[in-house]
Amino acid sequence: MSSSSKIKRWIIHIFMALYMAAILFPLLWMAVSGFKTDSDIFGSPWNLPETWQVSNYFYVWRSYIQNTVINSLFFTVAGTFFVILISGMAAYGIIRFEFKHRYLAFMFILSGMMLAPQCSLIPIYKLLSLVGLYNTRIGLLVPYIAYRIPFSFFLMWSFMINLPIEVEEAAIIDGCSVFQVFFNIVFKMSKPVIATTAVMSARYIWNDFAFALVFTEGRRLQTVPLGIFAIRSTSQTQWGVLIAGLTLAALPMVILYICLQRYFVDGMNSGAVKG
Amino acid sequence: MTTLYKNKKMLCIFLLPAVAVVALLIFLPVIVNVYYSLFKWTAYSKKMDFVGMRYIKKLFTDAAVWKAAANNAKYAVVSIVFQVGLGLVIAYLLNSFANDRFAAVTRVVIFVPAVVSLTAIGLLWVIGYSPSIGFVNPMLEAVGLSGLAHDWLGDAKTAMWAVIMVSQWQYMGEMVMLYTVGLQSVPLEIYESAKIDGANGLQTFFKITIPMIKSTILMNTTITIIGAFMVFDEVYVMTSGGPGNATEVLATLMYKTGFRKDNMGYASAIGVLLFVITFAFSFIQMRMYNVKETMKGEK
Repeated sequence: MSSSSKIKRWIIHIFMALYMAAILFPLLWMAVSGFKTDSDIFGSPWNLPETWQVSNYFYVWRSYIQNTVINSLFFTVAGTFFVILISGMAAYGIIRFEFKHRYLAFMFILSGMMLAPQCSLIPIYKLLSLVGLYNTRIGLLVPYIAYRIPFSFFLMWSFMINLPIEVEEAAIIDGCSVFQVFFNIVFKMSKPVIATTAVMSARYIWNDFAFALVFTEGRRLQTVPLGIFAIRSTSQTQWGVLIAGLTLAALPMVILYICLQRYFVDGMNSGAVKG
Repeated sequence: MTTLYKNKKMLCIFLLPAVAVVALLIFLPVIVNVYYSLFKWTAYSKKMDFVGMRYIKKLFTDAAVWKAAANNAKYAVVSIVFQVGLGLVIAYLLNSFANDRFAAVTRVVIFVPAVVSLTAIGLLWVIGYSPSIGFVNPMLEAVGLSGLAHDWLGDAKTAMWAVIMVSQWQYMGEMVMLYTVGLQSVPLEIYESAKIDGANGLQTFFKITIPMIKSTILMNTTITIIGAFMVFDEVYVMTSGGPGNATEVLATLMYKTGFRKDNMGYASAIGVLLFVITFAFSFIQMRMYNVKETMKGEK
């Protein structure tokens, strides 16, 4: 490598290191400041805590986060499960079954991607109230599932279309029903895309704020994002506690991302690159 | 093909859940929204008074709506500069010049904020921007720019920009990720031959990279614009539209009109406006996916 391109590489590395520092500093500052006492927080932002106040984390967990984590876990796990089941069934149905309006059905589900959930907050709120599902578990779960289906369907469709039909035909000759073929063969072969879809939908449901804000009220169904938002309005000056809460709220997704990076990247890309 | 795949009842079982949920919760609300915008109604009363096009007409003369739309437009412009523009430059530099391992680590690190909820990130920056306990002002002082120290979110002049910059911080890494795939699909031979012809880095970037990944750039631009007009969480969490209405965007204006002022009819009208804007760009985006070709090509 020539010396000029070596210098170029160094300059770019330094620039990128600065960019990484700009990303990491606020996050690390958050994790560390969660250990500070309130008077300590008003000191210099560069200092480490004078005394490591671990109790901030325990306190915020007990008083604010604990309940919300259970709710968030429920919506994330149940939502992701149904998203994969429903999207996978639809994708498989459109790929394998022979029927006249195949393209229409495909476009119908896919077009859902064009409609942003934000525009429909008020009509969905009203519809949920009309059928008595406002501020219920089902009432929040179903919109989560619905708005994840078009994208997940597309993701699963573009994977399943490349599955060899021969395996299924052999199984059918052996006397398997369509359900057996679908769950035992198609789903098993689709593991990579299921993982990607799961990660994308978990990220979306776990992080959602708007739906939970509009379709629920009170603390019973409060999810993590609403829980930490509530800390700000209730505890006027407990900054250490609030910051500890933010760290706890951010942690699960960061850990999931670090462990399952590949699926995050796959999911992002299949969403934006031409099918 | 086996006869099992011709069974209409089975087909219904497989397709119906997805079709029904999409129809009832994605399509129906859009239509209902238009209907609701024709009435004066509140959240807790059954009474609905027909007002016709009054609310829809009001949208065009309401200064609050224009102010909010202008803020969304600011959001879009800044996001295009940072995420679509700078994101591409960073992805290109990492892909073409940086050490491969170093580039991979950088991509992983800068993506981290994008997986955290907007609520947590928003509140983190509310604290970060704070003049009493934040880290933004001390940072400026550390690099000799203490003159810029400021109550960033408290000043109506800077609040919108401060909120917008948080989104850039959070999502630029995601765009770098999206670009990287596009960049890596450009055949290396093209770069090789450009090098032999004596093209420098800048020429290669403008003459080869940009034309080769034009579709990715267009796609990312539409995604960014749609995102900028749907913005809700970041603004609601950080400033809830204030100070005054300095950071109001269409989605927060809709929420407040509906749930704080209990003027559900007008809020629905704002929802319809939001729909028209985002749908137009989504439509362009879907055309770019070229689904019809995709579906036929792969069958």
